[in-house]
Amino acid sequence: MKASMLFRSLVLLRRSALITLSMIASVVTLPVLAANTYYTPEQIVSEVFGNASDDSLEKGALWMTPERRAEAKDLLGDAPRQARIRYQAYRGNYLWTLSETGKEKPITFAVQTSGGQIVRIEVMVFREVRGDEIRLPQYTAQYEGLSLNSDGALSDHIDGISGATYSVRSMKKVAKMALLLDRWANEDNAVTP
Amino acid sequence: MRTMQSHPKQQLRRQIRFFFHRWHRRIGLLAAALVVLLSVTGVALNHTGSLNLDRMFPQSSLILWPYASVIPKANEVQTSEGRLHSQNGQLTLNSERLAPCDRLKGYAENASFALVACGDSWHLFTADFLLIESFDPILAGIEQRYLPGTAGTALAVGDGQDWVIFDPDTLTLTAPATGAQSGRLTEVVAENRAISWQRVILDLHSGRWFGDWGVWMMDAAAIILLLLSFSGIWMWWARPRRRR
Repeated sequence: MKASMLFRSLVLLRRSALITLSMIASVVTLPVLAANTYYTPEQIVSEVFGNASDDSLEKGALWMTPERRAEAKDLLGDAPRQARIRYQAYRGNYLWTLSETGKEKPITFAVQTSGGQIVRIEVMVFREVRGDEIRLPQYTAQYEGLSLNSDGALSDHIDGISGATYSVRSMKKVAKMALLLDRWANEDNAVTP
Repeated sequence: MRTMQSHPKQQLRRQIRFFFHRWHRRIGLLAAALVVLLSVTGVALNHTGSLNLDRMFPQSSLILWPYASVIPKANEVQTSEGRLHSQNGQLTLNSERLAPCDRLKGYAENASFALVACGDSWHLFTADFLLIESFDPILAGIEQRYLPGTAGTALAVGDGQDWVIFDPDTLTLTAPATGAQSGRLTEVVAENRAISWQRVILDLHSGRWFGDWGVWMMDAAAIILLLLSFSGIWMWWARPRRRR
């Protein structure tokens, strides 16, 4: 009787093992996760500028002159290599789409600035394996109202996130760059408020 | 009467032994490959110094696939301005650094612009390779399988069959294009001096070479070996005493 029960248990064990193996196989063959797109350009424009019609949005570009490169390097320790940085503007609000490498992959941010202050910052595309906590509203809220000090630092402290050091660093860098771009855009009078 | 009672018991015992035999063989076969791998790599690691494994570097892309992010990759294309090349995370033109580039995947140029695909970021240059703008292909609506090309005098992006005109001023895709073609890249083999055989064998031994699942695979191998031990003991124990 005992041997019979043992035999039945073994058959059951065999079935369970086969089911488990097939489950493991299906998980192993899952495709690698692609980049996470949290905002498309249309979505972020719609959220930032609300009901502003497409015609009323100004689509402009700042050109990186040697003077601007030098200023960026002085203030931020780095200057964008690209010559053109495009923006969209509406009533003194600028929307910048900027990319910065996290640990290994580029993270694309959208930054809304106005009058030398950050109004809003969002992660649009995140490609890293970890660190996407920076997109959470609780974290991004720290950037609201920040400006750029004369020494190139943000006007207030930003709390870090454990395990997301590189992503946090990228967001801070992008925030500073957006504030500098906002300053240049206002100097150029590129947009009439 | 005694014989009648013991007969079904013996039959059942044989059934169980047969079950163990069959699964012992199957699991043994499954574990064999892993045991061979563990044994060979273990012996090799014990003799790293005498085998010079730490001073020898594999060059096969198949062996080096898990280290793709740290191995210098080289793709290049001959442009009107010279040799466009990507290695060590940089895009270079005649050895002059132009922009960050994970891996040069595609290239196209017309009279005014050059469009370069570097995987997660694309770059738009003037015809003489001044960087105008780096941009995120996802936000420009460029699908992952698309590469730069030219359709007549215009820049285009596509997968070899479907092409769309690319507007370099707005960085947007405008209208479908026909008869487009992409620039042909040349694969250049970069010598690996970063990952030694010692590292590869160590990672094979631990399972890390197979990715995140490799470690679990080796754990599974350990469990399989335990099962083999138990089933082997059972088979030995279940045999009549005189045949042990």
